[in-house]
Amino acid sequence: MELSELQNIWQEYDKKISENTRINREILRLILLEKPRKRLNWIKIKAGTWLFSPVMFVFLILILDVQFNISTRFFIGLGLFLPVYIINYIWDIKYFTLIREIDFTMPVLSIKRIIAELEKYKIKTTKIRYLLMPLAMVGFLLMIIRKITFSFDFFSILPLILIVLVFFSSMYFTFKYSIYERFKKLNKNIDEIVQLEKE
Amino acid sequence: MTETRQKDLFLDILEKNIGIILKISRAYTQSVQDKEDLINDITLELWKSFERFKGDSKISTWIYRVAINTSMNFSRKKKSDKLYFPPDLNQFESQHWILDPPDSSPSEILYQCIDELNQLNKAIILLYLDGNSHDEISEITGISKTNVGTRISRIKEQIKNLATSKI
Repeated sequence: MELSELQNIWQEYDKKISENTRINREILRLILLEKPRKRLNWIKIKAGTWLFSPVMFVFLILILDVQFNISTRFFIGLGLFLPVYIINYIWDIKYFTLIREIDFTMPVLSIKRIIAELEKYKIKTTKIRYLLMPLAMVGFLLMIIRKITFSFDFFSILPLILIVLVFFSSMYFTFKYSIYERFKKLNKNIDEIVQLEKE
Repeated sequence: MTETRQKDLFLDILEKNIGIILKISRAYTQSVQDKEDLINDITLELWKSFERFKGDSKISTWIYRVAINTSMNFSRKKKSDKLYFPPDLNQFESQHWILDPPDSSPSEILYQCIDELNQLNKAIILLYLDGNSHDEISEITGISKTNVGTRISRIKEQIKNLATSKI
């Protein structure tokens, strides 16, 4: 089959599309404007949720009536928990801002490079986040536990086992595929795009 | 410009260029449901960038860029940004007009061949088949004009072989 034939097929298809899409303008308005508008609102709600997560966190502590024990242990815990929380918050906001700043009117290659770089950034921050998370967890526990007593019976160890289990399962599912391979692939993609942009 | 006026203007542009959105969304998806979602995504991105569109480039160039960029990132975005819409009349109406011709039609065979290409080559051949010049393809994709020429020759050969094997 020659390319001219393919182009004829394409033109025929194009003609068919124009005929089929002579639809009611009101339907077009509903389908093409209302749904995206709902979606846009949803994106705004999601953005707001991220932004106000510290307020919600404080609100949750108040609702659950978490009792803090103001002692040296509390300040050590705070010292461990707060930096990790702030770093995570800044990363979340930065990632969200970067995603929102993506301008799809840019050339295809530039967007491909930006997305690959963003993905790399996301993997990198998630990896560090998992390394820091135990510190935050220990910090929070130090802030709320009044007295450290530990006995080696099943019911005392159970909460600890559950925390560790949830943490490692979540880590396993997040990094199910080798991070090294994903990084290698992303770097290769970025190199190829940069090369293409230069050519 | 009032919001109603802006919406009307946007709808006019969409109406005139709906073919571009339909053809590109068809090439980057496999099911009618995905195609509908992708059309929504493309429209959303177009609407978001409509205010910033100052007419520096042709309207079609702007639509092609947004449609191709959104399509290329569709699968990545799909999982994280899904919002449930209950089935309603709109969905029925939309599915009705975005349905594709039967599988055996020549356009379907052509789409099957295009589907075998990588994302970038897919975009290039779609732009080429739509009658865009090498200059325009270069402007939309960001690839140099010479490179566009070389790639098109390779893709032509690839599609020719694929089409022959499928018929």
